[in-house]
Amino acid sequence: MPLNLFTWLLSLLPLLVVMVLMLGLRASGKRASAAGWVTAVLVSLLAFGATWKVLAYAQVKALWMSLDVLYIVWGALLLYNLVHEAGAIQAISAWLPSVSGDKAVQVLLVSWLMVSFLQGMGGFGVPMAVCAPILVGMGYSPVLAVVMTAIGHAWAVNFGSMATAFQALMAVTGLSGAVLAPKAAILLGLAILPSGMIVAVLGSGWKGLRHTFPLLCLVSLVMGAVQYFLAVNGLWNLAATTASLAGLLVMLLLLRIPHFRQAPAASAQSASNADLLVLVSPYLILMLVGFAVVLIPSLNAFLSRTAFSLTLPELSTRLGWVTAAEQTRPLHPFSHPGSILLFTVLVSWLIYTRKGYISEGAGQRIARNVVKSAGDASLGVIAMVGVAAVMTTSGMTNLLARGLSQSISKTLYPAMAPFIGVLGAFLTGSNNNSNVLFGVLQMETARLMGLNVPLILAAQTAGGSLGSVMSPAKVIVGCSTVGLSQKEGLVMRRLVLLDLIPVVIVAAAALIWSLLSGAGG
Amino acid sequence: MKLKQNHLPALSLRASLLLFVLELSLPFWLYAALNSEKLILAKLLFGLIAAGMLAIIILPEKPKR
Repeated sequence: MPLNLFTWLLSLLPLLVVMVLMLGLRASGKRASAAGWVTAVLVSLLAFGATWKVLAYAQVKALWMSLDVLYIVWGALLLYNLVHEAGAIQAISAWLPSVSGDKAVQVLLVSWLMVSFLQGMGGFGVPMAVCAPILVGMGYSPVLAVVMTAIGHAWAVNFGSMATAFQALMAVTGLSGAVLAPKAAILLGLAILPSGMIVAVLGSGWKGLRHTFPLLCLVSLVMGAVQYFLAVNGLWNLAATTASLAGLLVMLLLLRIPHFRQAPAASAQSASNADLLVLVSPYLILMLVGFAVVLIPSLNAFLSRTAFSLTLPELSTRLGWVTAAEQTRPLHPFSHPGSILLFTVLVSWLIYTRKGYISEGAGQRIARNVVKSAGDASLGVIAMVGVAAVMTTSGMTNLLARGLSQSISKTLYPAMAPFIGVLGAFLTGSNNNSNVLFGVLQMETARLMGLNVPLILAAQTAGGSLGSVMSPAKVIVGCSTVGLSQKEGLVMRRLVLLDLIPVVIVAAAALIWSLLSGAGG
Repeated sequence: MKLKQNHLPALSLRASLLLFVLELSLPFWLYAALNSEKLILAKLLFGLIAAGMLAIIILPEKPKR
C-alpha cells in the first residue's frame, strides 16, 4: 500500500472513530470500540486488500490477546468486590487521615505511590480499578479518581508488571537490557515528578502543590534513582515496584519530620491496627504470592508447566502485506496473574469468613457486582483489541507509523518517537504491545536517519508507558469499579490532555538529548 | 451517543453477558473451522462475530445510575 495523505488518513480512521465517539459524543467504551472494529474491518477490506481469512485470523489473534487481559480483569474485580464487601476500602479511606491530615499528601499516597506499586503486580488498568474506589471513599468524584490514578502510575508501566513491556522491547529489537535500560530509566524518571505534580493539583489545587512540592521533589528523586539503579543493574523486572515501594517508605518517613508533619485530621477514625491488618490482608497475600511466583524459579517452572498457545499461518493481503506465521504468546493458566488473583480471593474469603467480616448473602452480591462491571468492560476490551489486531494484520498500523516517521525531519524525530509509542499503546491498551508493534520500526527508522538507536527505543517505550494509561481498554477497566461503566468518555476527555503533559516532557528531553549527543551515539 | 433507536430493545445486562460469551467463544470455533478447512462454517462464524459488534453499536444501552 503506497504511503500518501489519503491512505494515512484511512489508516487513522478507526482510531478517529473511537476518539470522536468517546471524547466528542460520550459514547461508552464498548460501543466506541465496536464502532472502531467495524470501521477497521471495512477499511481493511475495501482499501487495504484484506481477505476475510486475514480478518478471521486477526479475530482469533485478538481473542487470544484479550484472554490474557480478561482473566486479570475478572480476577481483579472479584478481589475488589470482596474487599469492598468486607469494608476494607472504607477502612483504608478512614486510615489515611491518621497518617497525615493533609489532603494533598493522602492523595499522593494513594494515586501516585500505591497505584504505582500495584502496577508491579499486574497492569491492564487493575491498579486504577483498585485505587480509584479508595479516592471515591475519600470524597473525590469518580471521574477525578480514575484520572488521578491513571496519571499517577503512568511512569511505572514500562518497568512495572515485572517489566514485560521492556522485555518485549528487548525481544523484538534484539538489543540487550544493558543498552536500553539506562536511557529508558532516565526518560521515565523525568516523568515521575510531573505525574505527581498533576495528581497534587487535581487532588488539592495549586495550593496543595505548593505545599507538597518539596516532598514531591524528594520522593521523585528517590524513585527515579532507585528505578535507574535497578534497571541498569539488570533488575529491570523489579525496578518500578521497588522504586514506588521506596517512594512510599520515604514519604512515610518524611511525614515524621516536623517540617513536613501535619497533624492527623481531628475526625480521623480508623479501625484498630489488628482489624486494619486483617482487612488489607488480601493485598498483602497478593503481593506475597505475586512475588513468590515470579521470583522463585522452581515454583515458577512448576506452575508454568501447563501452557497453551495457538499456531497462526502466514497471512497476506491482496496488496501484498504479509504477516509471518507465528505461535501466539503462551498462556500459562497456573502462573498467570489472573490465577494469582483467584488464589488470593480464595484465601482472603476464608480469612474474612473466619474473622466475621463476611455477612450473609455476600457471595451473591459480589458475584452480581462482578458480572455487572466486568461484562461491559470485557466487551469493550475484546472490541478494542480486535481493532488493533485487524489494523496490524492488514498493514494499517505499519502505514500509520511509517507516515509519522517519514513526515518528520531527522532533527525532530526524537521528539516524535514517544508519540509513536503513545499511538501503539493507545490502540492496543498495552505498553507491551506498543513495543511489539513499533519497536523494530523505530529501530530501523533511527538507523536509517543515523540517530541514537537506544535513545529512540527508550523514547518509544517511555511513550508507550505514559500513553497506555489513556487507552480506552485500560480506562474501561479503571472505570469499572467506580460506577462509570458506559461513561468512560467523561474520563477520557480529562485524561488525554493531562496525560500528554508528561509525554511532551519526555519528547522534549529526547530531542534535547539527541541534539546534545549528536547523531549515531 | 444519542441515536434514534427507541423502537429497539435495550441492551440489558443479560444481553451484554450473552454477547460477551458469544464474542469470547466464537473465535475459538472460528479457529477450529479455519484449521479444518470448513470455510463456509468459518465465514458464518465470522459473520456472527461481526453481527455481535453491530448489535453493540445499534442496540441502545440500558441507562445506568
